[in-house]
Amino acid sequence: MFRRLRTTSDRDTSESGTESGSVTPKGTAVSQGLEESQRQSSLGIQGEQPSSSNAPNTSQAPRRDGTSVDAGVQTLLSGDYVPAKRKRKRRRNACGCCFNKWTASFVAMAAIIYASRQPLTRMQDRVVDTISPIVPEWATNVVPEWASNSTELQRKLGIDIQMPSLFSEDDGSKRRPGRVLYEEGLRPKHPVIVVPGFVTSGLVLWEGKPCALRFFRERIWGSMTMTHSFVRNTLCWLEHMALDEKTGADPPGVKLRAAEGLEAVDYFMPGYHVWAKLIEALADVGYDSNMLVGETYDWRLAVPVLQQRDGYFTRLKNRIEVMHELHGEKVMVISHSWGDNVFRNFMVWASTFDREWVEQHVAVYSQIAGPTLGVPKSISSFLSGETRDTAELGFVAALLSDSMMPRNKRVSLFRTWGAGIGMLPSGGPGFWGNTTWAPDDTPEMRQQGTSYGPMLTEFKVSKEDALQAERHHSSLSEFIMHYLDKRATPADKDRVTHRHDIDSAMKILLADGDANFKEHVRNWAAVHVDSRSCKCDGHPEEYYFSPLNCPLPHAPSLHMFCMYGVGLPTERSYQYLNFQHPKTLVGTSEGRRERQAEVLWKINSESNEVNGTLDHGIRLSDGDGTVPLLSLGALCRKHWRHDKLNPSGIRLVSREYVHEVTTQFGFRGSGKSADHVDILSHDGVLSDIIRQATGHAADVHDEIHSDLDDIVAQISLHAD
Amino acid sequence: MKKPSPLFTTLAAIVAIAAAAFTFRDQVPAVQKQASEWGIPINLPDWFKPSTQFGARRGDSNKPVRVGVLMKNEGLKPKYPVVIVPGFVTSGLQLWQGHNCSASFYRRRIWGSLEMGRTALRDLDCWLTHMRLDPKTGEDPEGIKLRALEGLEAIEWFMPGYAVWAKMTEGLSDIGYDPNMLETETFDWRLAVPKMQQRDKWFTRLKLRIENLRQLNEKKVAVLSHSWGDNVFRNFLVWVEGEVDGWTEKHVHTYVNIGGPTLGVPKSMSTYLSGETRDTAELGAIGNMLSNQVVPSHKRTWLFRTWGAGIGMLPNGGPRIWGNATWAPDDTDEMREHNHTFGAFMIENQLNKTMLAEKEAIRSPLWRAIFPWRHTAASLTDRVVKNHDIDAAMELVLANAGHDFRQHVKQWGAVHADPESRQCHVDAEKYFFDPLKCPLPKAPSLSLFCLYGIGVPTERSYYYNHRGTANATEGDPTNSHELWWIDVDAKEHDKNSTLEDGVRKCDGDATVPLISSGTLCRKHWRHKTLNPSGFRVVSREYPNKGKPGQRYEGTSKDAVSADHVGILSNEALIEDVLRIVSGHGDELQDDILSDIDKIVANIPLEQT
Repeated sequence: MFRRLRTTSDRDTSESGTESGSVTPKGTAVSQGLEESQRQSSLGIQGEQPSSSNAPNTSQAPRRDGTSVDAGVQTLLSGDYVPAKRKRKRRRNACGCCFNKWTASFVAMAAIIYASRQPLTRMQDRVVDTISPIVPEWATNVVPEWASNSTELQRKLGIDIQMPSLFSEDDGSKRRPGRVLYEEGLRPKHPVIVVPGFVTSGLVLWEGKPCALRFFRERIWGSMTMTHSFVRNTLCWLEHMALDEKTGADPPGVKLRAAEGLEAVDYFMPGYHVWAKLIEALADVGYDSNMLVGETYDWRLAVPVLQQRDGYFTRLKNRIEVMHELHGEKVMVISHSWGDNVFRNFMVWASTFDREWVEQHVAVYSQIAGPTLGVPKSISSFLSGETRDTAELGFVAALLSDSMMPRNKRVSLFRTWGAGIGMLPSGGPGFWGNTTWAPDDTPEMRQQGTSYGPMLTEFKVSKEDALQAERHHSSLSEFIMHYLDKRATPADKDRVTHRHDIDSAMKILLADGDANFKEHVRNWAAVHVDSRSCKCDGHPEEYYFSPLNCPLPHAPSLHMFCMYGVGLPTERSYQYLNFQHPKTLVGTSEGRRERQAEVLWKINSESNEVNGTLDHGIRLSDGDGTVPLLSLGALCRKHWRHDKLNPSGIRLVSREYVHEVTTQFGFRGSGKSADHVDILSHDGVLSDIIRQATGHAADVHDEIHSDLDDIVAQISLHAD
Repeated sequence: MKKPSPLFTTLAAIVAIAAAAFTFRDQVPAVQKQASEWGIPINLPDWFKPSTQFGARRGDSNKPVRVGVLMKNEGLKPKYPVVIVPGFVTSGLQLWQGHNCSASFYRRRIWGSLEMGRTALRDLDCWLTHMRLDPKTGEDPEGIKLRALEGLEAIEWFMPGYAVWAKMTEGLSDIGYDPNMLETETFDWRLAVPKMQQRDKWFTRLKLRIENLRQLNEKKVAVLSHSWGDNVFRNFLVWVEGEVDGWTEKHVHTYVNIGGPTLGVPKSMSTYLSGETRDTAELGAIGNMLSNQVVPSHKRTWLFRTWGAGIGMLPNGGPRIWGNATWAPDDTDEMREHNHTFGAFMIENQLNKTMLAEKEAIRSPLWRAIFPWRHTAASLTDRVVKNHDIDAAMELVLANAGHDFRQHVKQWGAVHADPESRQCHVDAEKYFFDPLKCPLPKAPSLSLFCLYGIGVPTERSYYYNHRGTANATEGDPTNSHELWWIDVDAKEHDKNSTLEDGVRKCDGDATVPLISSGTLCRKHWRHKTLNPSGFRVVSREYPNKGKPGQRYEGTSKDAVSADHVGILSNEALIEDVLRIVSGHGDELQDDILSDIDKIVANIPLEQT
């Protein structure tokens, strides 16, 4: 269609006789041909049609058919060129008009198709469902790629796990680490159990409100369905993703359960691989689903609720025992991110029933990017619902941006997730620093007089601004933009009202939350605010264990690996605007309740340092983009190597992987990215995991690239 | 600017109207309502209806209320944790290791997705090579590893729009089941039962899974099996009783056997002899794919003969069950009048060269064009016809399928044809058990429900063409398809004939004949010999009210289908299952609609 249009327009611009000479016969030919055929047809029907009625049609005919393929043949049939010139002129003008209008209407149609692509793809699903037996390839591609946003179809067709070529890193030229090691002669030894991390595995809707009827038994988290459902009805989606405020388990009438098996963890979304490369690497040396399993869980739940609601610890224990029994070898457990905290809690629990259980069943424990001491990001999520470029969420972060989901909704959603509470930074000022100092301050920062220590730096907001904020409370972000435009004075030290260390920051957070939240922090977090917290008595259905109080299990022959990325800027502490009047900060609850719908804290995103670590109100430290180095490395490097937390002398190995950006698109790395999630496909990690799984754990040694040793040297061994 | 052409104006107007209408389609119902009040009916195509209508695509049928929701309103609650044991070919297989040609398939469903069809069409040999097992060992061939997909997602939808367990799990979740109480133990359905334990330790897995579920929920479990899953699970019971005495009594509350081919399926014989699968309900769409046009029959036998599971489905029980050359227990009165019988399991039509030529000529399109009235083999009156009963037919299959196959049948089949036919071995890693010899476990409080479909014509016996050869002994397995093929011209002119294109059909669920799905449940398992502890056995039949093949539409029509796979979406069956697992199984009694009682009356209780 477009090609034809272009040729006509070319003709319009060219005035040369030779050109028109070559064109004219064709145009004529078509009209002649049509006249011919009409003549024939009128002949065929014995002249019932008056021939005069053909005339207007004939003049339009060329426009309709353009340059017909039969033109050449028709030319031979017709000899009459004279009337063609007149016709050509009319035709050209008409087609000039056509060109614009046609283009316009095509653009319009494309736009309409694009706008209505959701129903379209659903139509396509319908079509495919109806004609499902042996669908020819074209039939599934009725709707072009760009107009298709349905992965439901793709998932059902089994295409989803293949990523779009743009994002594909496997160009075939690279040698997969698994293949290399297979040729070296490595073969499966330990059965492998995967314990996935926070937000990266799928959740399936098992019971829902009427608004979610369509998503019954589909992944409401961890697929394109999620985007679908989210965009269609954000409130509905939120209602289903939230947990019960009080119990931290299912709210009435809603049931989400973890998707099962490796399929639940390999790809978060089409093209966004999580465990896929690691599974591939293990399969390369000979693992299959008999020896490699994933024990997924509902990652929203607090660790105690995991056992309460789903019996997850019992399941995991049984699963490990099954693998041990089936293969006659102790297992290797690989955890990622929050999965580390879950698994260590599990080990404490399992050891209380049988002190030797871990020793008898687990040979290797490899935790990848485990936030052993929590993540500062959890504070900002709970306080203001803000997460900076959250690595776990990747492009999904865009989805959770202000425009899609108001911050107060986000805060109340996050606060129901017990797992997030478990990720509140634990260890207190001994680890995270006080108002003037922190162990991981860089020498430059010490020179500049800045520190990671003040977890929250509070900025003054005048009474007028606060009042104005209330006036504008229907659109807080709008007001903030307005406010920030007026005084873009970054890092104005005079406006700083308070510097809060970690303990004080926790108090602010608790003061901001309701009674349920406080209760949950007490039971489900390892934070340093309450004497009741940090129990270690094997009751995971009640308490979350503090890694600083609960020693590692008795397992002298266990190899434990801490593998994590370094070299990425990672959130470490925050500068906050407080819209609350300073007086009411600890004041009556009434004022708070009145404004509960409003989020009173906002990251001071105008605050920057040119050569410093402060970026848009967030101070960044070394880490893997999500978890700061302090939390990734400190325990592995120091505390777990001493008797107090490691009484049986488990062999501890810390391995760091330096982040490198090598891909053309800078997207998801190509085996070099050490980002929090991408590290699961880091070549070094893959090789190391394979060595550990195939019985060569003893050959994998410490590898430190960061300043971790300087940092841990400043942390007391008996931090309390 | 000239006036735009009328053509363009028209088009633009249409586009504009369509776009506007589409944009405001949410208002359509209101307009429709208004219009109907004015007496103007407006009918719109489906796709045009408001967006919420698209939501009705899945998850709910045309019926306003799902059976599960009805049951929930009735007050049913989850009681026993449920373990699902899926059947033959209906669950997904995943490629874990393969040759170069299958690189794009790595960790994807090589079986059980639409793409499988596509890829098979693109590179058939590659696909077949990967689907095949090692003909000698019956396990993975060198360099290829297929494993069962895990979890409910592997068994719910075989393909888009082709529900297997989906409606059942939907019903279960409606009354409150979730993955904490509802699990499945999938298996590589190609494997012979002993191989499942040898290669994947499947029995151990299932045992531990059931134990874990019991421990987590503190309730004995209910096991649901479908089709071949029944044979697998009963073998498991024999094995587990050998491991731990009284295990079944302790861990299993109810066993629901849905469409189980307890005595095998006749179809397996034709598959192994000539690679011909016809009317394969359990294959559905794949049946077409594996049809003659796509996969030549010698490739099919080449593939199927390596699948040990199929060997376990060879008809079992010998002439006492399947009949002799003149009589069978399930012959209908009408057939007896006409001297027809299902007992002649294989009617061999020996062809010499001239007859062959004539027959082929008759089948050629040219012949049919010239002599349209002579397209039946009416001229072949002087043919040599031999009636083989089940034992003789089995011998034919064994003689033609090769040495490996014969060896495997001895271990992995329960068939009666071999004099070395075993007693009930406890060595589950080597042998498949004969249900006529191995009693059910001693578990007095267990209940066994046999739920199966009836009313669909089901393959029962065959008319075969045979090209005679000099040596009738051990045939070359690679060319048996050239020697044997189903005589599609065999027809009878009676109105109610059971013979159809060379295959005689009986009552059943389109795959499993009634005699196989019903006999043991109705008779043998209710007697001391095979059910020593005398636990409760209930047979319930579901008539096929829907048309088979309609399940693809995913509408409520499939809610009444009783064909082999469609029955899992049958609402009557789902209702019964929901009652059973929620602790109301005691209220369900036998429900017999077929002639099974007449049939079992003809079958002796004791098998020798």
